[in-house]
Amino acid sequence: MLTLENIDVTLGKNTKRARKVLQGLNLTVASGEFLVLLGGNGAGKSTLFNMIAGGIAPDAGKLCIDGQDVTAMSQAQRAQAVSKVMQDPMQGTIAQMSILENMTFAYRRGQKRGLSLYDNQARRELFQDKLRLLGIGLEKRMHDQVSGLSGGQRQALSMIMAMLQPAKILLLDEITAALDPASTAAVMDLANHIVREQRLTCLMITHDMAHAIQYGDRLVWIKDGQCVKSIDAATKANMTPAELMQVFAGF
Amino acid sequence: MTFNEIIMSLEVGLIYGIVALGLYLTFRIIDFPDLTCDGSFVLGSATASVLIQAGVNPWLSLLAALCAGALAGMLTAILYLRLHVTNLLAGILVSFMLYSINLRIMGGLPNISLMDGGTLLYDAPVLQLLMIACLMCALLSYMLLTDFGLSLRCIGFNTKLASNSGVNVAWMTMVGLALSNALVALGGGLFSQHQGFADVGSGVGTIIIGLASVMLGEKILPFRGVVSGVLSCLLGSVVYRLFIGFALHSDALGLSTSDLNLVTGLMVIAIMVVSKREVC
Repeated sequence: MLTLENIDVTLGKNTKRARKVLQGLNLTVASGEFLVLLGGNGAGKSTLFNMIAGGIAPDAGKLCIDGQDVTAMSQAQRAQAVSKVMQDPMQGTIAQMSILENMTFAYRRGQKRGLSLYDNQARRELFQDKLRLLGIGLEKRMHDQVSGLSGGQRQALSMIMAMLQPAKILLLDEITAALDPASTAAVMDLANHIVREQRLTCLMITHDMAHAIQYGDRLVWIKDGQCVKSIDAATKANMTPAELMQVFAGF
Repeated sequence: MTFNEIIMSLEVGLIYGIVALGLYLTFRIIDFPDLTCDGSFVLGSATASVLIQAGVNPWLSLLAALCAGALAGMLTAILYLRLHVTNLLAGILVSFMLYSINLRIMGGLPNISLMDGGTLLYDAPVLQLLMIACLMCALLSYMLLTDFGLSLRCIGFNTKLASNSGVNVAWMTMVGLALSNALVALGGGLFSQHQGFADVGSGVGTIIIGLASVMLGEKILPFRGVVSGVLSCLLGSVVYRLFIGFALHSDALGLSTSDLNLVTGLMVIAIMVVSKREVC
């Protein structure tokens, strides 16, 4: 479970351009809940994710994961509990390394990285099993460099990478923004499948109204750094994207 | 070029090969343009020489050089990470200040002679140097093939992903700089034992020579992968020395030792131009 209480975040602190991005934000995400976040540009969605992951410290407020206060925990320590898939597939993977190296790196997320060789049979078999889920033959290309993969393949890989090590909270930040329609559908199906099968507590940012209706248990609209409207699964299931737009236009 | 001169080039090539390993670690692995090495090379050289003069075992003197270099690297890291000095300036500053420190270590003398003996590389230095250089290559390759080494490589390629994945980027940068400068200082320590003297000015251009070796090595062994990357530094350094040796000893070219910097600089530029063409 994720609990955010009265969170304030200022970006560019102590500079002329200091801007309060999150203001008294309150949000609770139950264990196993798949929450979809919507909001205009600059509403504070990405900042919220960054703050949950530990990249930005809040000025005020409290952040709890499964009842434990993690507000003061560093990003490195928090990585064990929080996993994030980034918007740009180029950022979620390491282009200059092989698929095997990428997966090995992700496999140790939030774990101790010691002085034993990273490549071994057990790991390879585990990674191949995970890659087989994608059904695009990546399991046979373990030694290929990631720079040779398409954007869709890279994003699918970064989804798998984010889930190699169990996380309490999964953050999906506009994961299909850089993809073509076919890859978008494939990556969204994969994300939904993984989240549901593993009963993950997941927060997803999207700008796609159809995705917002199709996926997730609850929908939250963020504006000016606050959660201003929440719509449950039953209500949103009967809405069209246009109706949804209209609801939010009122805020 | 006589046989002796070729052997000499090989020896110096191996010594600077260790320096090139250090530069490979910063410039290629953690992607930090570290200019501390001009200072840390002399630091290693001065530390080892002074200790040898005081009668300390030459192996121990190399260990001390290694530690001194690591400290210099950590100082650059602290300037960059804690005091937010830009990476290039942090290295230049430390290197600049090391000049005074090196003179202090050398008791105020600009050079120290080790002609009285007590050094490692007394006879058959090629074998000993080959042994030390190969050992360093093996250790570095092994380190880069571990989970730890993988995270070191990742902070150079994708810092954001590294911090998202729980890697303490600041700490790893510090470790990378310390290891790199330790290798450079080890090179300095070996150099003074090989030449039989330490000179406070001997570090000038270490970066360019090291980079020339790294780049040349990448041309000779253009394979992706950690082990070939590490080996290419050593190979590049030896080839560089042989090339310089031939260029300076050829009567037809009419070059003298003082033309070394010009030849090296032109070589670096040539390699960069050739690399750009291949990309297109």
